[in-house]
Amino acid sequence: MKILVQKFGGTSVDTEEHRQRAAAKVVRALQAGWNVVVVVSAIGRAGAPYATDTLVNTLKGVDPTVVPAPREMDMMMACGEIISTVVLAQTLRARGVDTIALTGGQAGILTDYDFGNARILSIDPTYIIKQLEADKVVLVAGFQGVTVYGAITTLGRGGSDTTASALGAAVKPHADEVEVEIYTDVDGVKTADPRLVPDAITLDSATYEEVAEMAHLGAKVVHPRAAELAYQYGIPLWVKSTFSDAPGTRIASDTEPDDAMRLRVTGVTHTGKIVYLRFELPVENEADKQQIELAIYRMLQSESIPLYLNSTDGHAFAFAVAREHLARVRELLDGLVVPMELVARRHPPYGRVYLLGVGAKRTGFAAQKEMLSSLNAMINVHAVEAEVTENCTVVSVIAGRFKGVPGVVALILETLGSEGVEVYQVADSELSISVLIPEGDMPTAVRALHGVFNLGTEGTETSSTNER
Amino acid sequence: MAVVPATETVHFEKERGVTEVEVTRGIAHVTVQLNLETLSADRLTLLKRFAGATVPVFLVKLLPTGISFALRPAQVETGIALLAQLKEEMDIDFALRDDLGLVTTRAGAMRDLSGIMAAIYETLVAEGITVRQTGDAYNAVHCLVPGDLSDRAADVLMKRLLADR
Repeated sequence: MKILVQKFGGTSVDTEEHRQRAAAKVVRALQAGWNVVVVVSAIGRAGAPYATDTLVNTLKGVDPTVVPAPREMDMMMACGEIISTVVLAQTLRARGVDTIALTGGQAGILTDYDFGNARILSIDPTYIIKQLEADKVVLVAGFQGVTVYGAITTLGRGGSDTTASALGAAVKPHADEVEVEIYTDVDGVKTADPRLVPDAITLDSATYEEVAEMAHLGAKVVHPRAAELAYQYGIPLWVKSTFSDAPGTRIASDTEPDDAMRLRVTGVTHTGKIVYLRFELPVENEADKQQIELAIYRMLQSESIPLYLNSTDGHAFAFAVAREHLARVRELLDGLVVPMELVARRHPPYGRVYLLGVGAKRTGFAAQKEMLSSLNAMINVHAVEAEVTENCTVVSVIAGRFKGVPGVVALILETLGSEGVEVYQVADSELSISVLIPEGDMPTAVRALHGVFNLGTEGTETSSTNER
Repeated sequence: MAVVPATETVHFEKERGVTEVEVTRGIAHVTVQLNLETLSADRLTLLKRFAGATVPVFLVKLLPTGISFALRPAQVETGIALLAQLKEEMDIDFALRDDLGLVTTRAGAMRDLSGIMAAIYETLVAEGITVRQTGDAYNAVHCLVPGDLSDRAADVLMKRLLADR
């Protein structure tokens, strides 16, 4: 038996016309000899009647002052996928296809109790296999599972992609061949955002790691959790369009030897709005600097504020946060006092503390400074005022491998410099090189980097000597 | 392909959290002070000279007064020679710390690990281990630490972070 898992996102099933297109994809797969499992997301995006956000708002609207219980929230959120699964099943049935619609639990998906972000513990594909053997198309509501006691859980962001990969892995032992197709509204994985780069092309293939890195750095491709599952179980994953017959992008393992020195650039991504904060201590003291860094990271961790582009040098350190968190970061850090040493000794100073200031107004800093002024004779108060660069964004060049390939950072800086784009900071990993730049320069930067790495043409490989 | 009986279930999703901590020894970290008037151009010149000599650099960071980067063990000697040459040709000064260890904490779903940086720093600071530089990727956090403490750093991180799973 050859099993194909096809996942259709919300915009692929939100209208009758789109549902018919999706159904046509299923029928074509059947005609090609596949046994088909279909995973369905909730219909439409925010605002649509049965979209997840609409359901959540309905529940919250009962009494905005009372937070819904996570268990009940998951029951509500799961409804969207169940509705769309049944509707698509009926769409196929109207075409003469024998179908069965299943909830995640009925499909054998068992999860832990982390409501809203449940992890799949196991999948029993027995019922699915039985239905496939009876020549039915099995439609499974995405984004959900059940706990051991039957409580409905949702899988978090990208949950339907995850369901598709997971089901592919679950049925693999029972099939001669398995593939997973993720249907979306673009032709596949693009080399850049086509709204910014009109000549961005669709990649024939990408590795799981490249896709995961792209998602980490701002690109909306397949969810990295789904890519990770497919990688873990060796399931070929395709990203295709519901609205065209383009072949799409195949996502699979990297087959190049680990020591290959050839640079293989996959694409250019960009994030949303970022703010960069740099703290410089007035005196060089590595130990103190680390304690201050730690105090800041703890504060931000307590609010689940993610950090990017961490760096440290001499008596300074820096990091970036998403713009949406800036107000809260200011509240947390402006006026923060980090005690370093308080000792009983005969003569002052009896210790030192660091007082942080963040933001143009620094009201917390000013208030604390005044309160601490009476202690100046006894302890050293060191001011650390953050340099805040707002209106930034991160543009990244993603490559299958950078390790051991010299000159790429130089090429990126030279390219951006020639376009008049200022680079505030750089970050590199085995799979990407990122630059922090002014937000207004993002389109120029993306286009320039896309061009210099020849991403708009068929060849995207560059040898280490092929540099300006 | 052998077919598994349909009653057999498949266990899934890797545990969330850190899966391994690895150490690469013999890393060098270089901090270069450049001419402030020609800062951007000099950064580029330096990077291109390293590229031209086929010496890859990583953990590159732009500093207000220059640039810093790391060199892998095989490139340290060549890198030092190149820096000495550049010092004669350009208005630069550099400081190099060698025998550092790159401690890499890996997690399949790093994005889900709220507070991983705080946990790493907390663990290392408690052991008195100074972090010279950091970097991150979708599945890893890198810390450059003194080489003689890198194994200890990996041990305590594994104990702390694997226990948090």
